[in-house]
Order: sequence, then structure tokens, then C-alpha cells
Amino acid sequence: MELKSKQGGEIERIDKYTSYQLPNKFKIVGSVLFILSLISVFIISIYLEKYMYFDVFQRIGWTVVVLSLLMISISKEKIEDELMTKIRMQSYHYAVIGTVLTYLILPFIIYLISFSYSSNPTIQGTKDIPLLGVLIGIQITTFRKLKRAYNEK
Amino acid sequence: MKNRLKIERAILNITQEELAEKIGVSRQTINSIETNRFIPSTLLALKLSMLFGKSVNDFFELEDEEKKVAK
Repeated sequence: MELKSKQGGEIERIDKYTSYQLPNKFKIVGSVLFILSLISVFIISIYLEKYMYFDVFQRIGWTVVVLSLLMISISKEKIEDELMTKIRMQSYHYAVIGTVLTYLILPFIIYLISFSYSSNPTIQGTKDIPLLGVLIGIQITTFRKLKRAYNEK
Repeated sequence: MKNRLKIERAILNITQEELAEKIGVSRQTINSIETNRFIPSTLLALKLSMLFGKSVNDFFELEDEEKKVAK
């Protein structure tokens, strides 16, 4: 009985996170914020390059760019129904697989190309690979947890 | 799975937009069901059933291959 409520709680907790969506108007807010933050990132990289806090400002700029995209991503459609839920899940699936494969393969392609103009090429993007591991790790863990919870008698 | 949603809608003489509004989904959802690109949930099928005044089996039917697996 205790196990059952624990598993039920698990589904509820994950459901709370995955079903949370911002109102539809946040799509417009996110779009405006995206354009403004992208412009500010370019302005920062042109005019503040020699400024002491350049890295911090650039980081903040990119953070807002990504947050605005996240805002668009988790905002409701005008009519949010089960087809929209399915399409959203498909697009997340596509985005995760696409990002992981691109991020893993692209550095090797760039490395091979750089051989043609450099005698000592270096492979880029290696330090970000653990992040992809975390992403896939969370997916596997969540999937297993939900599978166990839904299978509970 | 095939369906007779378009025919049932024609019998009621309502547009995709009107049907969508009645059951609380988007017009794209109705269009996707009619063109067999999207299979609705049981909940949505039951809502359609209530609206048409018919059993779900009257407007949703398994394809021949799906019927073989179900037997």
C-alpha cells in the first residue's frame, strides 16, 4: 500500500513537471525577448569585447536567448489538445536525438576538415559531451521510473 | 484504423470548425482524424460518440491487418 502511494506520487510529480505550460501569450513574449536578446548578444560582442565583464554579459545574453526559446517551447497553443501534445512530444524527441547525434558527429567532421589547412588540428566541443550524457541519463531514469510506476498493480 | 468521421459530420451538416468547437479540440485535430493521420484517445472517441449518438464502433473500425492481430 505504501509502495503504491509512492509510485502514484512519482507519476503525479513527473506529470506536474511535464504537463506544466505557460499561457499562449508567452509565445509572443518569448519571441520578442528572443529577438531583443539576440540583438543584445551581437551588440555585446561588438562593443563590449574589451570590457572587463564581457564574458558575464555575453553569458547573460545567451542565457536570455535560450530562456526565451524555452518560453516559446512550453507555451500553450491557442487550442491545446491531444494532437498538440503528441506533436510536442514528437518534436522534443526529434530535438533530443538530433542534438545528441549532431553534437557527437560534427566535431569529428570539423576535425577531419581542419586537417586540410592545419598541421596540428584540435577537436572541439569535448567538454560539453557530459551534458549530453546528463540529458540522456535523465531521460532513461525518468522513463524507467514511469514504466515501473505505471506497471504498479 | 479507418473512420467514418467525415460522413458522420456530413450527416450532421457541420463543418470541421464547428465539430472541433463542440468537442473542445482544434480544427487541425478533426482534419487529422478524418485523413487518418491521427488516432484519437478513447476520451475523444467517446465525446464524438456522444455527439453523433452512435457507438464508437459505428464510426471507428480496425483495418483488416489489425483485425487479424486482435483475433
